[in-house]
Amino acid sequence: MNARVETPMRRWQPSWTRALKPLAITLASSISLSAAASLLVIGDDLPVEPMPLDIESQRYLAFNEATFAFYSDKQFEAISQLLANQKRGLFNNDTEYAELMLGELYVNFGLAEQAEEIFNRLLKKDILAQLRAETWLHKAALNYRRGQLNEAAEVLASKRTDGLPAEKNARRHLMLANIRIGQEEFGEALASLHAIPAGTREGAYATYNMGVAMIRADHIDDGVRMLSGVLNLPPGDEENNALKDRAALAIGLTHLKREQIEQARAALIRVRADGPFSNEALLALGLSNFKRKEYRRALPLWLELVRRNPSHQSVQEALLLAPRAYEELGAMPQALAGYRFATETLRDELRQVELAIRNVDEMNWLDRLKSHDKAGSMNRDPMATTGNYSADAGPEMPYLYRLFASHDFAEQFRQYMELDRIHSLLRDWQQSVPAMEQAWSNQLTKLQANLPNVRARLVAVKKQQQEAGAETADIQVNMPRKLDMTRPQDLADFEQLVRWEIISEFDRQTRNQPASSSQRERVRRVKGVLLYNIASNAPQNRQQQHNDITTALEDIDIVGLRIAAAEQLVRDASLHIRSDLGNRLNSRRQDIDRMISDTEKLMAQLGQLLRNDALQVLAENRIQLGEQLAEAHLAMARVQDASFSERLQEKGQ
Amino acid sequence: MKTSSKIVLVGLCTALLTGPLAASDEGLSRQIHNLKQNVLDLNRDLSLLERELLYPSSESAIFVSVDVGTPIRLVDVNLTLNGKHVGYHFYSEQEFTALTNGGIHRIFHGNLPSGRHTLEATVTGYDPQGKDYQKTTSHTFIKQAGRKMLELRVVDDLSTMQHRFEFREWNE
Repeated sequence: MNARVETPMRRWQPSWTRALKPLAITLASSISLSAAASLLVIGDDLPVEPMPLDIESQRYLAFNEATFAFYSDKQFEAISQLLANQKRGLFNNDTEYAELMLGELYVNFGLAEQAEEIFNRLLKKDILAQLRAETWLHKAALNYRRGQLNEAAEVLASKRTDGLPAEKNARRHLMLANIRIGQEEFGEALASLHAIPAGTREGAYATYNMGVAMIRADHIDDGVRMLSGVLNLPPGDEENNALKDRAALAIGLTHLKREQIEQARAALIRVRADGPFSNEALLALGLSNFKRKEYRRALPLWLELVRRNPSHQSVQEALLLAPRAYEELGAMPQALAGYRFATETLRDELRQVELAIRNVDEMNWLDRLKSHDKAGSMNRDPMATTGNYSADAGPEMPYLYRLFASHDFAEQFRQYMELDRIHSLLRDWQQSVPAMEQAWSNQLTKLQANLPNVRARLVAVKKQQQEAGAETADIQVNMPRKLDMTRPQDLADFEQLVRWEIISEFDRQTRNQPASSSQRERVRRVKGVLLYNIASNAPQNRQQQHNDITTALEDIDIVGLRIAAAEQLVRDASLHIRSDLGNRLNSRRQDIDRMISDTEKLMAQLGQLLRNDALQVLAENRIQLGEQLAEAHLAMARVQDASFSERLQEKGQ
Repeated sequence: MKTSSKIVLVGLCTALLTGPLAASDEGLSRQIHNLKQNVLDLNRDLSLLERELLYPSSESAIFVSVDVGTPIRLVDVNLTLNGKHVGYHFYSEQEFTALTNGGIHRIFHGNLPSGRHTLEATVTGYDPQGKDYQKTTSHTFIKQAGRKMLELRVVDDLSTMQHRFEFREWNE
């Protein structure tokens, strides 16, 4: 177990989000002002008309898209988007909010130099006081990560980080407290701890770390007091309760070491029986009874422990201690049986450790660890959170849980997974780039074949649209303002117009007949009725004509827009044909092959480091099990000798 | 026995009060550092090349955003454009948090023909009481020669404790 418990991975509210809020408001107002001066954008009052896609609007969309990726655990995507938009000229040194986000992402990706360059650049500028304080905080965090603790402490303790929002101020003091604890400057650490809001998880971890550090530095009473603060926290989630268990165990062991048995027992019984530290607590509780020669009270605790998984170190200790308690009680047959059980169990465990060593030594051990990460998450972002690799059921896992829980192993494994995902990303690009080259080649062939024809047709269509527009405008201009029945066909609707033309034709054909002929009379009457109908509907028909003309003009305008869009596409296509996209794709393909090879080499090296760490732990376990096995055998011999001597004495008497 | 129990106790204390040492390799770290920088450059360049290849200067995109800190949970958004399905996204808890922190999600990215289009969005969500509901809205817009960006803002309607929609358009 680590003395210093790492603060759980927490997503701090990035400082650029705060920078974004005023930006969003400014953007909204500037956009609205430029789009339509009469519209005011406040809250939900959005402009009805489309706004121009100016640089600030593009920044708003691009930055918030990166924010979405950042918070969705796709930090690599976020960093890629920011860098791509930087190259497109959207973000630059003056977009401080994007700079700060990029700096934070560089820190998270382990590119400290690039992050520092950004932070230094920001600090030289005349920026808002809060943004400046947040940049200093990031810079201090960077120093902290690099182990430059004095530099970090100097910044964190100075006024440069004053004026941070509450959450970031808590982070500042947590970091400072951890540094002071490491330097054994407990007074200053305590002052920083007081600045962390009570009841937070970070505060609890820091208090625990401080308590343990004080005990190690011989400030035992103060240390126990700090740990009691953690122990007396109200029950919370599993992580909180585990920390409380851990504090209780640390207090118990400290008292036990000082022979303060009652206080030790009082602390140890507060460790939960089903918690992750129950084995250690049972062992220590048994020891506290044993020290007071209360063997009968120690025995059930250790007998409970020996029924548990024997790969746990406390269980292995209990395998030897339980028969030892029987010995003290004079129950030699039970003691002998206990030692015999211990030798069998320890031998089995030794076999398991050998098997585990072979497993870890195999090449696919890391692949098996990786498989949990792959199964646990669909997120293949290289910077995504690593899955729980300790859940594997291999024989080595019970022995390695402590190694897996250590910060250094976790950090190295995280790097290994980062490389693995980078490798997958490069493999994807390796497959995509030839497809892109093929797509480019197809586009080129098609565009070269079709462009001349498209250009010619576009010219013709544009002429047609302009003529139609002129004609429609002409009709609109020449439309009489008054309803004039001298030309009834201009006021008729379509149906009336057809009838008017038929009747006019009849009229023309019957014009040679006598005026009194019944046919001419009939045509005259029908014509009269039709004229009456046309006159009756004339106002509505004229209105309809106005509407139709307006719609036609709108449609002609949209056709104009479409022609402009097509012209834009033709311009794009012309540039596309002349561009060297194919060459650029080809050169990048060679880079990908080289990077895949580099990644594989680095993964092999890092994998070997991880494997060595695991093998070292297993080797230590093997030595310890061997020693315990020897101790069990010696104890068996001792008990057998004692029994034999007793029997001899009894016979002698 | 006193010695044995002391050894056990020391072992327990050591386990609890000390941590393992770190294995570090400066050369390896530097190599990893360089590789990461190269991968970032490569990824940036290829993303830009891909964009250049696939999207002419008249590309279109539709974004989804929500009110910052909304108590109403957005579950999924289904988009149709002129009656044809163009996008669907289910928002995980983490993605919804990303939206409430001011992020915007690009739900559609492509090349739209110029002219008039009708967008229909169906949104499923949970109100603060956990009751699910579905709402559909439509919006007509005109795509011109340049780029077209459209933001669908899913905002709180505190009177009904459900979402309502607002659209924001940008033309290049």
